[in-house]
Amino acid sequence: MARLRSLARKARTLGGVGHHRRALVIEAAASMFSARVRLLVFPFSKIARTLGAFVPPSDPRVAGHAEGATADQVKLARDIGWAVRASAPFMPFRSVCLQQAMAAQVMLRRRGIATVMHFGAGRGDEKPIDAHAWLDAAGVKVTGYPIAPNLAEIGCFV
Amino acid sequence: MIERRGDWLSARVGDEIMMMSAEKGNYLGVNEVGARIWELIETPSDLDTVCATLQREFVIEPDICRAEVEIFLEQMEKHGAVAITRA
Repeated sequence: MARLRSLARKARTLGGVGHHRRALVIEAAASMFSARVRLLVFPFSKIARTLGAFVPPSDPRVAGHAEGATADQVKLARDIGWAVRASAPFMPFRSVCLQQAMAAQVMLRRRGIATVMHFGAGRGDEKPIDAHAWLDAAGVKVTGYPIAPNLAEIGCFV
Repeated sequence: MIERRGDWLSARVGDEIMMMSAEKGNYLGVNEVGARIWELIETPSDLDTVCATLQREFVIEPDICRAEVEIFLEQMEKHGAVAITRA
């Protein structure tokens, strides 16, 4: 019951945002669920093939990903980032950085907006390696920000 | 001959390096000496050359150095990060 009540409250909270944003949140939740399922079912090596080309951060495609981005695309990238971050805490599972990045990437690609998915790692306090994924599109920081200072960026999918 | 293998990318974090492979879906953390070995095999090299360089840079007995490098390279081979062609 508590969950139902909280869902009702969240639905009311969403009632306060515009139609466009509400639709984006619903799409973000569905995309996150789909990312979650893919991560549970497939090994990362298989998922990686769908994420793009794996290149070092120095690759020109990384710096140049936002070239020619229109004002509309910038706004969409911001809104999609907001929608994914806003719906992440509502998901019935822990929606970690990779799921968020994958969900936002799918939503952006659907709209023809190029993305860069960054992967980094560092020595963790609890685990030997802390890994993190974050996403940029149209020059916008979409998901996974801020990045912890102990992380080094290793590679990107473009 | 020792050479890098696969799509591993690496980044320095202090004295160490963090490595990632999309093909393998794996991360590796490599300490200072391992990081140096990884740099030394950016172009294919051999055990004697790698050990000679390490002995110039680190205070280490030749026998121990060779044994440690071999162990490290075997581990990296298991992870699909290096290929060792044994003559």
